[in-house]
Parts: sequence; C-alpha cells; structure tokens
Amino acid sequence: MFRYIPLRHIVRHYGAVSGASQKLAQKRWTKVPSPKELKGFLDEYIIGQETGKKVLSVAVYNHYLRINDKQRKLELKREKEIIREGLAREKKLRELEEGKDEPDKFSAEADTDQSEPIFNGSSEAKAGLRNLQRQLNISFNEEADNTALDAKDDDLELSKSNVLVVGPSGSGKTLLASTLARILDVPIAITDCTQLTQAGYIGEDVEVCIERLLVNADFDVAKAERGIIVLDEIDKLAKPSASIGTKDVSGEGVQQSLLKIIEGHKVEITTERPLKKGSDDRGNQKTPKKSETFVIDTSNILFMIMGAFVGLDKHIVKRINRMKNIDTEISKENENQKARFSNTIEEVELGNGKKVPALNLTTPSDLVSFGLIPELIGRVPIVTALQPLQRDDLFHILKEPKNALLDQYEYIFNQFGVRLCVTDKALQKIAQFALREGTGARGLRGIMERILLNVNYECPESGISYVLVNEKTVDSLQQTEYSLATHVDAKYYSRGQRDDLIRDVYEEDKNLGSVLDEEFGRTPTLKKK
Amino acid sequence: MRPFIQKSTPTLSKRTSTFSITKKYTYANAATATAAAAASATAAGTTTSTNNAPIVNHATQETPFDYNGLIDNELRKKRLDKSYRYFNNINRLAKEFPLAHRQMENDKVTVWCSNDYLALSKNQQVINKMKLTLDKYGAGAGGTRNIAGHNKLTMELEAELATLHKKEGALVFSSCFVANDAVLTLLGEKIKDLVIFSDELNHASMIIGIKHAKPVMKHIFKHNDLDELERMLQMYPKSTPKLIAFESVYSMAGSVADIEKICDLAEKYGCLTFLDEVHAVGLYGPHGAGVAEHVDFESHRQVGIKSTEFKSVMDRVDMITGTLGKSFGTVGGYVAASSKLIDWFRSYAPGFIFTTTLPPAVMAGAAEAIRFQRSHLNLRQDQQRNTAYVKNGLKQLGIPVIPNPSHIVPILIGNPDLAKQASDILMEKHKIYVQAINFPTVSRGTERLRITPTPGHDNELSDILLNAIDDVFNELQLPRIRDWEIQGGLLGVGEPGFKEPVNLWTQDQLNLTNEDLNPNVFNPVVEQLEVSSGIKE
Repeated sequence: MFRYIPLRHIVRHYGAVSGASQKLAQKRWTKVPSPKELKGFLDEYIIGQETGKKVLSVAVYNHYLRINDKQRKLELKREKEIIREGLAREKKLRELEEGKDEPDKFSAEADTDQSEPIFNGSSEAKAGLRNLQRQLNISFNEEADNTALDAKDDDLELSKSNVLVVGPSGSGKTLLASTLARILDVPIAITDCTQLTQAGYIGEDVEVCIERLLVNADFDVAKAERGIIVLDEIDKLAKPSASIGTKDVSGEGVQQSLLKIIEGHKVEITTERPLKKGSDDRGNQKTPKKSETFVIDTSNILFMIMGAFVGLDKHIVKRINRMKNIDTEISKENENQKARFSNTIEEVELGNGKKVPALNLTTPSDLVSFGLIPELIGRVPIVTALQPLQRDDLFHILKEPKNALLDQYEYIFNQFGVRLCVTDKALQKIAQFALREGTGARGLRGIMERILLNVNYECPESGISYVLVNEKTVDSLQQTEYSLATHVDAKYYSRGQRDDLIRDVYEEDKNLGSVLDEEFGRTPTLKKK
Repeated sequence: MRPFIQKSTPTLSKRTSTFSITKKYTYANAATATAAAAASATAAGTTTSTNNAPIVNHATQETPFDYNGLIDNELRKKRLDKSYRYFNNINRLAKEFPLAHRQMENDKVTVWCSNDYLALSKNQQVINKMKLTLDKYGAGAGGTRNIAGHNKLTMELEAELATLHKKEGALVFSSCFVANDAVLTLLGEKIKDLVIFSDELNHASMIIGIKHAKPVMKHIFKHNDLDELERMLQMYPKSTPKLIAFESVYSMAGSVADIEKICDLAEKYGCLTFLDEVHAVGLYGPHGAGVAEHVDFESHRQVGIKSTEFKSVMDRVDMITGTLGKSFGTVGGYVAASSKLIDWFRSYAPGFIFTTTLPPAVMAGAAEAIRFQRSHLNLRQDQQRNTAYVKNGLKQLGIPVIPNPSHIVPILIGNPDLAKQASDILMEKHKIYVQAINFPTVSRGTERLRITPTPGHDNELSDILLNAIDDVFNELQLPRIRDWEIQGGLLGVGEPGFKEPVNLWTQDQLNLTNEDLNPNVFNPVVEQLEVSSGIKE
C-alpha cells in the first residue's frame, strides 16, 4: 500500500522534484481505518479478548488493503495506458514536425484525435501529461524523471489470509463477527455451518454463504467479491473419530465442498432477485422476483471461520503433557475425574509457572485430530483463540459495553416506571455465579432473568418505584432448592421511601449511591454526615 | 500507409474495416500524387506478406455481437481513469439567486459555477416577457423554420442579435454547439480546397465541426501563438481559401485571443475569420457584444447601437457565433455575419434546416435579455468587480488560479480524483456547489475547479467561498502556488517568468455608469431583417 513519504525525504533523494505532483500523488488512495481504529470500535461492544480483537482487526485491515490494492492497480494500469498513448502521440507528432512531412502531419493529427472531442496534442494536454507522469512515478516511488511505466511490483498479486477463531461457548465469537458486520463498509455475511450439507442432500448447499453475501451487497457482484464471509460453528462439521461406515454428508462432505470456495473459485449462483415492491389489486404485498444467475469470484473474499471446538482443550493438554513426559497415570486420573462434557476450559502450565488456557496453544494438528480435514486447515493460516471469560470480564460485560445487559434491564424496568438499582457487589456475585455455570457471557442473561423474574412479576402497577438488587438478593437465589427460583429477596421501595433506598445502596455501593443522589437532585448523604 | 494494409485484410471486424475506408478517403484527398504512388508501391510489397498471414475470422451465425460487453467495457474505463461523471441535482431558485436546492427543498447550496453569468435567467423582466409569450403563443414552435417554426419572435431575435454584433444578419440555431458544427461543416463542404487553421484549445463543437468539414488540410496552432499561425498561413498562396477558427474567451482557462491581430493576419493572407464568443457575450464591450466589441470600447460606447465610422474589429470578423444559454439566460445559439453568409447558411446547413425552431417564449426571453443587458453596463462591471475580489482573495491564500485576463476563475487541481473529492467536500461540508472539471472538458492532468462569480456573488458570499476553499485545500493537502513553483509550474501557475496578463476591463471602463452610454441603446427600435425570411429578388 501507498506509504506517506515525508517531504524532506523526497527532497534529499530527488532534488528539486517534489512539490505539487508529490502532494497530489500522496492523497490519491482512499483512507483505510487503521487496525487501532478498528479495535477501538470493537472495544466499545466487546469486553476483554485483547488478542482476538487484535487479530481480527489486523485481518480486516489487511483485507481492506488487499481489495484497495487490486482496485488501485487497475487504476494505475489505466493511467499508464493513458500516459503511454499520450507519449506515443507526442512522439509521432514530433517526428512528423521534424520531418516536415506535411500531408502526413495532417493525417497524424486526424489520427490522434479520432475519438476524442478535444485536441490531444495541445500544449495543455502535454503539460497535463507531464503532471500525470510525475504523479505516477511518485506513486511508484521512482525518481520523477525516470519512468515508472515498467515498474515491477505491477503484477504482484496479494493473496488472502483467512482466519480461524477458536473459543469456548459464550466467549464472544459471534458477537465479534456481528459487531464487525456493523462497523465495516464491506458486505459481511454470517452463516451457520450446522445447516449445511453436501450438494444433493436435504439441507443447504455451501453456496448459501455466498448467496447471503450477495444479498447483503445488494446484488452488486463487484461489491460482494470484496466482502467477508463468516462461517460459524465450523466445529460441528468435524468428522466423527470412528468411521460409521456411511458417507458423512453433513460433516466431512461439507468441509470438502468448502475447500474450493475458501481457496478462491468462480462460483455460479442462481438466486431470486426481488425486482420491486408492490401490491396487487387486493392490496396484498407482493414482491415480484426474477431468477438470475451470478458468477462470483471468491478469491478476494475473506473467510473467518469460528467454532467452540468442545473438547479440543483436553486434547491439547494431553498432547502437551505427553511432550512433557508427565506421568501418564496422573493425567488419566484427571481425565476420569472430569465429566466428558465439562464446560470449563483446561489450562496448561507454562514453564514459567504461568497458566494459560489450553486453546491458546492450538496447532493445526490439534484441529486435524479434532476432525477438521487438513486441506481446510491449510487454507486458513491464521488461528487465534478467544479466552474463556473470567469473573472480572463477566462483571464488565454486565455493565460496560454499548448494549450492556444491565442497561437493557434498566430500560425495560423504566418502561413500567420502576428504577432498577443493582449494586456492584451484586453484579460481582452474578458474574461469579455465571462463571460456575460455564456458559460464558450468555449465562449472565439466564441468571439475571432468574433474579428478576419475581421482581418483574410484582412491580408493574403495584406502586413500587424503586427496586434494589444487592448481594443478599443474589445469595438468596443461590440458596433456593430449585434452579428456577421464584423466591428472591429483592428490596422494594415506594416513591416515599427514596431515602431508605439510598441509605441501603450506600451500604454496598458508594458509586451507585452518588449516581442516585445526583439523579434525584439530593445533597450527597456522605457530605451531609 | 496503413489503410492499404487494412484493405488487404478485410476479415477484420466490420467496425474497423469501415473505419479504414473512411480514413483512406481522407488520405486520398490529402496525399499528393507522388505520395500516393509511393504508397501503392509499398502496398504492393505488404500485400504479399499479409496474404500469407493466417486469416482469423470469428464471424458466426450462432450469436450476435456482444453489444453490452462493449458498452460495459467503455464505461468501466471511464470509472477507472476517474473521468466518470456524476451529475448533481441542483435546482437553481429564481427568487433566491445564487441559491439552489438539492433533492430536498430545504437543503440549499450556493451555486458558484453556473454559466448564468449575469443572472438574467432569473431576471423579472425576462421572465415576465416569457410568461406573456407563453400565454399568447403556447409552448412549442411547431416545426422547422421552413414548415411551421418561422414567426415574428424569431425575426425579432435575429434582428436583435444582428444589431448587437453590428452585422447585416444573424441566424438562430438550437444551440451554439449546433451552430458551430453546422457552419464549419458547411464551409468545409462547400468551399473546395479550404484550409482550416484552428487554435489547439478550441471548444469540442468547433473541433467536431472541423472534422465534419473534412477540409483538404487543417492546421492546429499553439494556443494564441500568432507567430506559429502566421508561419502556417505563409505556406499557402493568398488565393487558397482559408479559415481561421478561434474563440475570444476560452472557457476553461479564461485566456483571451488577440482578435485584432488575427484579423490583421486574416486580411494579409486572405482568410475568413470564425470567432466563437460564447463565453464573452454579455460580459465584454459597452453593450455586451463580446471581446470583439471590447477592443474598440470607447468608439462603440460613443455611437451606441450604430456602426462605428471606421471598420471596427467586430466588423472585420466574418462570422461571430454565440449562445443564448449562458449570459442571455435562456437556450439556443446563433451566428452573426453578412447577409450573404447568413442567406447561405440558411439555405444549405442541414443542422439548421432539419431541426425544430426554439419555442417562442425562449426566443422572446432571449431577445428581452439582450435588450436588458445592452443598457445595463453595471451588470458587467459588478461581475468584473466580484471576479477581481475572488481572484485577489485566492491569490492571498496561495491557491493556484490559472492566470487569465477574463472573468473565469479556474483553480488548478491537477488530478481527477482529488478534483472530484474537493468538489464533494465543498458541497457536503460547506454547502457550496463548484463542479469539478475533468476530461474530456479539459486535458487529463489539468483538472480544475472552475468558479464563475456573477453580479449576485457579493463580497460576503465570496468570503465564505474563500474560507471553504482554503479549508478544502488544507483537508486534502492540495498543492498551492508554492508547490507548483517547486516543480516548475503548470499552465502559468508558478511558472518562472510568466507574465501576469492585463485584465480586459480597465479601471476607467469600470468607473463608467449606465448614464455614460449613448441614449440610443435604451429601448431602441430594431427593424426586422429581410434575410431572416428570405431575400426577395
């Protein structure tokens, strides 16, 4: 991609040649959001996962660069063509002038402006041509007087680096993808692999992912060819460890048919394209559709493949332990202790005593033994792992990102006139609770639902104005015998009991207390004291 | 030599082969006997070699030609070199000049690039006249001049135009593009052996007219380079028919031709002169007849609508073409010349004969606009003052303006993509409409923003514009004058030793008032011309 070269640098290298053309050449390519900016966007919605966000930001940034590069090369090629034509024309005119071959000069002029409505040999055209040539040379970082017409990196074509994201359930894989879809201005389509089958079997063909991308790109093939396809739940395509004797049409078969698409291939798609919305004479909505065939080249489409890969961590631990020659019996014992489908992620102790989640150490061979075919893994050079969420992460997820869970509930309660207050300590408890359940960030919602079920039942049209959920409330949920508890001790306050509410809040959460003080326009309780 | 080779390979696609035949035609006209002999000799040599070449014939009865493929390819090329054009939806408001609204009526922008130089398209007097005519004579003219389209309004307009340019006659066309094309084509076709001398920056309409004229020979001289023109003229005997085609104000650079000197040369070498005053009428001369009138400003001012006692520069130019669509606020074009020439054009030029006459209301409006501007010297002066203010402001900001002595303010950008971006930012961020000028209107690499102040663009609006342009130059890091200086300049911007041209309007001329005009320019009675309808024997 084009580099910004400081002016003094140029002056030193190329003498007086810089100035206007230099400036013009610099600003020619569309600005791409930097990886940092991209990560900034992701940070607003997603808590934690620093490495994962970084990897995806860089992947998307490089994708942008690559598609821009292709466009830019085409433009430069056209520009070179124009300059070449211009130079050839000038040369011809000059030769004729020198040769004083009058009859031919006329025909040459007739020749040169055959298809153009303005005279191509004018002094303005010549000056303009010089200017273009300079700009071209500078874009190619050549000496301005030298010609960049035959620059070498011309036919260097960039190939893509697809990404595989491994992460336990609820660690934010799909959220990352859908957040990216929201902020990028290239089309992006998210497809679940679970529904895919091999061609000819009941279920969706693999081409459906491209069809979705095409729909997202408003049936603009050129736009779709620059898009991003996310294949979610790829681990569901893993072939069973033992052959069951029949063809695996929804697992391995799908992986095989994905190969060509991921690699870069012209895919023909016949799809129904809506023409225009209208209504028939009885006023029913109808959208006439026309079946159209599109040919889409996938060689520039970036693929992001995601999956939870349940059980992969154990495999990795086994592999590492084997390498470390740790007594196999211990590990066997460990294995037996754990349920087969445990939802905690194994950790591996590194040499320096630090523990990291096993998924961080995923290698292609691990994925192969999990059941992905090597051909598929080979086409996805970047593998990154999302961390299982820790208690602090879960706590932040409840509170901080745009669209945070707590905001959502506060908003809902506001609809029926109740101010919901949840103390930080309560949130911490909820996070801890969710961690134990092991369903990641999604588990938070379940717990919140359980806690607030009763509150939600009691509050509307009851004269209650404030509800406080504190540590005790969460504890009470824990103590019930039934998982779907209907008895949760939340505190209710009527409008007149505002002071009681604030006092109780201050006991656990001073920050929330001062927020409430401000909200109600009170002098802070602390200051009063 | 090429046509002969192409002739011997008739299996090329049809398009190329017809092409080569027409080419051969011009070649044959042009080539001298010896050249033709030599050519046939080489042709004989090449024929044998090309005959051995394998004949590639893709003709088939199975599929038709891929028309869409060809068109797609052409359009893609336009997009790639950034000369693809987007038209802006600009609805210039009659009551709020120079404002216009975009798609939504409340989204208003200031228009800084229209060619409605004197805002006469919004002039109440012109609008009223058009309304009355519309009510009385309806919307359309009803046919060609010969069949149903000749009426008193046509005659009045032509009389008005002839009076403006102090010529014996004038002829109205659908546009000045058509006028230039039709007149030049006719000249070339009818005058055997005509040699045409054309300025290299001539407008497309003239270039295409000259192409259609298929002259024996055409010479393109460097822009305003009269020494080169003279060297070219010297090559021919005085008896050879010659035509010099040029403009007064060149629309995209604002440069101005030395009409008097060209007339001197024309007389010395026996040439016809064809002058395009499209961007000058209404703006130069005491009565707005263009630069040709401006050369003898004082004499014309004194005599008013009468002819000068001596042969003025305007009298010496044989044909003057102009437009009704820019300064005169409506639409259409015309040529003013001697009644003989006009009679000839009227009788022979297909571009005139086979087209519907302009609507009556348009012609009435144009005539009214010409009468209005003739006695309103202040419009021209205000336009000049506002232009000077903008040019001066840009100069102080170091913004590169292609230097010129006229009313046009071409800001040099030098890159198609950036010119478009600059125009977009002006529109979206600053609510100012200045269209980017790109190929093929100007040469590649000389893209510019062309600003045209009018009497309505006062200093307050100009200050807003100057700030906006400064901001755009900062935002896009566009090259300023000193950047062009570093690399030796372009088109007079930052060129060492470039002499700043002297403005056409002098301070004395700008100090005159409407009262200084001869009283006969206020509501003169203009007689209809016989040549408009046909001269009785």
